[in-house]
Amino acid sequence: MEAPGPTKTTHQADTLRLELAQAQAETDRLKHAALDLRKLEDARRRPTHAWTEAAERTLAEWERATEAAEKRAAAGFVTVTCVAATIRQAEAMLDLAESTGALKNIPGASPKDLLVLRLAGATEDSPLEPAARRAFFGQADTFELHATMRGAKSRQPGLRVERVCALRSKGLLVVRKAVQAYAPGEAAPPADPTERQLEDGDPVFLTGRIARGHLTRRLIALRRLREHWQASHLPLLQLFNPEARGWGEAQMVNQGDQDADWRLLTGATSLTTAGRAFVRKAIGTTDFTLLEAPAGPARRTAVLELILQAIARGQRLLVVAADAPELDELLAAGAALSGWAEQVAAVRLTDPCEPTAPAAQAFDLDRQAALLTGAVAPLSRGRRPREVASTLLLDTCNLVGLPLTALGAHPSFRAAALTRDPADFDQLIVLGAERLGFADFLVPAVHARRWILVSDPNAPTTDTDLDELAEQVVVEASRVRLLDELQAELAFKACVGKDGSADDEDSDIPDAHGRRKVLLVLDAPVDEARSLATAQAYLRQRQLQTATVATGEVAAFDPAALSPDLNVLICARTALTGTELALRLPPEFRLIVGHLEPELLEPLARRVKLPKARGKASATTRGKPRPLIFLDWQRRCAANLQGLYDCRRPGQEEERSRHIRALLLDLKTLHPFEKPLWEPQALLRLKEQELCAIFEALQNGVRESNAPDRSESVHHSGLPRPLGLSSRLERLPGA
Amino acid sequence: MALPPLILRRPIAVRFVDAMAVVRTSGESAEWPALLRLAADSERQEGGLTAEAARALLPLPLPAARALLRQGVELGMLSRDGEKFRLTALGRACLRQDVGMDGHHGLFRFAVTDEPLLAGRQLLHVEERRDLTDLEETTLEEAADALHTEPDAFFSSVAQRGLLFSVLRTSAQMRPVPRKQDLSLMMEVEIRPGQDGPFNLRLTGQWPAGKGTGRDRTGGAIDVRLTSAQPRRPDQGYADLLQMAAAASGQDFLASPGGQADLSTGYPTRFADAPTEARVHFRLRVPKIPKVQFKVPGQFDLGTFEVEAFEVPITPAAGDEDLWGQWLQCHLLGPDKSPGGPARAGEAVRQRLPSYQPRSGAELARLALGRSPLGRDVPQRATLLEAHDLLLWEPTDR
Repeated sequence: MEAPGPTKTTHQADTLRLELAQAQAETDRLKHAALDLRKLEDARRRPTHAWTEAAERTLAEWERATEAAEKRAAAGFVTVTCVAATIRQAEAMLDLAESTGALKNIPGASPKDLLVLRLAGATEDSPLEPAARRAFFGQADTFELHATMRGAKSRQPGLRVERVCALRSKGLLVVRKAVQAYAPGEAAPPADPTERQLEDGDPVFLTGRIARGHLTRRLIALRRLREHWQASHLPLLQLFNPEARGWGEAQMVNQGDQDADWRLLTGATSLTTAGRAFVRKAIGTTDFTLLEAPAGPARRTAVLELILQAIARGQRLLVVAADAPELDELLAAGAALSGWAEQVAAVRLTDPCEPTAPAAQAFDLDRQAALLTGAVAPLSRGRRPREVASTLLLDTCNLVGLPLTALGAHPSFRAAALTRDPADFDQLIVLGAERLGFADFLVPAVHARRWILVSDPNAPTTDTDLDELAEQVVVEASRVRLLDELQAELAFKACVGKDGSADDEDSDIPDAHGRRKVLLVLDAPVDEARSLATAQAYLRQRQLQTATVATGEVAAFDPAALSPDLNVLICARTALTGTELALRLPPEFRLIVGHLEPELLEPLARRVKLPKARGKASATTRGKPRPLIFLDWQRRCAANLQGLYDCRRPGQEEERSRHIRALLLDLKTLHPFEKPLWEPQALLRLKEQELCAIFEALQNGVRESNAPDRSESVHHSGLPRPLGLSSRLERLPGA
Repeated sequence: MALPPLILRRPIAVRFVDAMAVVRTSGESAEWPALLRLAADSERQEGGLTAEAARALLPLPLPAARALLRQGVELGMLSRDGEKFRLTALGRACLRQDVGMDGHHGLFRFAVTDEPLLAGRQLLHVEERRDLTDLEETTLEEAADALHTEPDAFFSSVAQRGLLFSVLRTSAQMRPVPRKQDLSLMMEVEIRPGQDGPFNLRLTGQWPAGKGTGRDRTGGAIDVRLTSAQPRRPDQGYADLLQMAAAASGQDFLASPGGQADLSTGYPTRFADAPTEARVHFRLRVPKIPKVQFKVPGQFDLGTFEVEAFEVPITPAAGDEDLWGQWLQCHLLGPDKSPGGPARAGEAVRQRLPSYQPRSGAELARLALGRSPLGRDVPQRATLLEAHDLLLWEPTDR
């Protein structure tokens, strides 16, 4: 099979880049390959990674979608309930703040200015939502405290606080109230009622901006892969090729079988044999190597052996761990080996909300940079010495370790670094690759030439932020300009009772014609009038009576003037958040279609008169009916996509088909002879990008269905079996 | 008596070529100037720099210090000899300029010229192309040899003062930028009497600013002095080039339509008061010559230049009667500088001196140059037929 030649592209530079990339890849391959001449000579078995137009198209679409999602996230907020921490927790957090020097940055702060909060959902049974983890334990450090959820959701001004110190694993925050200035002679302003509520032990509500850092990093990685790719990126680009060609068979490096050739994997056990095979594959590969091993000493030994062998060959390694303690244990175990200091210059980047274990603190970048700052200060030439020292350490060390939560700490992963060459690592080792999504994998992957993924087959996979997935569903729908129609279609289904929800409580709502009154709330941040008009036109086509209330018309809105035959009342979300519309809505509108917080319609919920119990189910088996029933189109789609992904294994076809039907219900109209409003390909691709862990994507590829007998729409194929995968995959015993 | 320098000028064409490349460029660096200084000191005292010595300057972990020195080798500033590291020519240049080198991979725009005097130094400038939106549809052509440089070669940019760069690797195919973006610079060559070394060049012109920001944006007036890498051959001496310039200085004075009004005189006193042995200074003034082909078939070809005006003093030997006669003749010819002037004046002289034979300007020039201090009788002198404006001069106190 000949290597593909340059293909026509709208991007003029890429043909030049491709040519140089292929030349460099050929050089690298020959330099790197072991001496299995059969593999080198056989075109079918020799890896030939190629750039394809399919890759560029997919990357371009993905980049657009990520950019749109980032813009949407800029305007969003997340609210979490929190309470005051216990005395013991508060003392521990204040000690931590003092030991990490966080209190030094706020001179004059006394403990009474600080509040220690515990976020709800910070336990093992109900962990914090991913959105909350990102928002409150990420880069942003200013939040607002509110006394009520309604106040928080409707964005009323609250008590501004700044984060001083945090512990993500426990959900604990130390915050300081923003200083309120008042003129001398004036009395100090009274204490905020929120503070009193906190002191009384009642819950308060912490609001922060939705974190965008991870979206920004993904965007940078996609841009680098699309516009500034190099030879080393070809295997990553190959992942976007639907055809499973060009992977070939991975090479194994010629490392002897004697114990003297190995540092840690000595002896003749099955663990040693498998570990050695893994190290040989990892060093010999030109692209990926996969290791299935449960977290523990065996996995740590194999990875440490790989690190030592790679460094002995002059390579630079980047280790990203989903679990920070595992990274610290690895570094501590390495430091305990003789000869480590002469061979390995390691640096560990830290997540400010998760302290480094004491055994690994010697590798902390800040600590090492502090030691170097004095020597570097006279040479700095106007730059900050600490920054010069950090850059020097990162450029010269041969092992960089960071937990997944600290990806933002590496300067090469930031936006400003896109104009520079990528940080050049020979290998990226990911520990816990079952918890790393495809999109997040690309962030460090574009800075490395080879990728070693270590996964625990028994561990749970990535926990998804359903709200973020729902936002991305909205972005996709907005891109094809169908969002308003899709939501209007759901309103129509809700009106005629065919929305597919299993709730029986709306059986009491319909009028004599069997129709329910629906309030359709559109999320129209930009062009409200156009969205309202589109939804109204769509519903009129469905023979429904509709009325619209624009944000500017709320003052003139008279509920008594509404027709009694009205089926759907349409408004924008800004009309509910910014005006008193919720107080004036007629109480007959109990079915709400839209993405909004229930608290915004609390005034309406209070006025709704619940009907007496009727309907098919008996009163004892039916729960208390809710005053308002919410149907969120994007959240339903996101939940169905998640369900589709969760039910991907064989034996789960029934549940899978249930989710497929539910998803298609939300994308199609009721009338069977009409074609679907929106084909699901974009959503299925979104599922693959957001939900699929990288380890799984490489093993299985990403397909609509795992059933071999059905024709599949393949989004990308993963590593082909048998040779492509088996030459790259190794399992440690016990996995 | 000082012979004049010969100033030769001609425009050179600068073409731009885009290519994917791995390039090293110089820039501000915190650690490299100090390390290079340390390497220079260590080379003098201990024969080279070691990782341990580098740690005395920058207390990095030992593997990091080794990695830093290896980076220096990859960047071309250091060369490795076992465990010791020494400065390369590029390293010394960086040390002089107090900068460090950094490697880049990407799409670059190279400024190249095929000027023969710049052979071996045809890369004038490199800048990274960030803005890819203005790439036009052009067909790919074969590579220009200019980008295939010696492994250790490095260049200083003519467009950005202080920028050193070297090209490590380029794609085999390159894209020439459309001709309308070609640039013209003026190259000046100065040749001094007795100078046999390489040609001293000077490039002047206006470098355009590129699109984009940061490194892409280079522009402004340039004035750079270089030394040509092309060695000068023995037959490219000052005298030969001066003669060729003088020979090409124009047609016969009498025949040229405009005539040459410029005269210069070196005669300091009245003729009547000068002793017989007084030297009479002639000056051969060659005005600016727009086009001189410095070519001797079978010997050398420096190409065509414009020659700045120059003067060559000519001192005839004292007691040369024939030359005195010429002086007299010219003196009597009078101030009429028009093309027919000498003929009329000659006729007027013949009426007073019947034996006077008018000579053409060319003859007079030949005779005068025959006495030039440029040297002996050499065959080429026969080819110097026409001096442009010669011999019509006036004493200063007339």
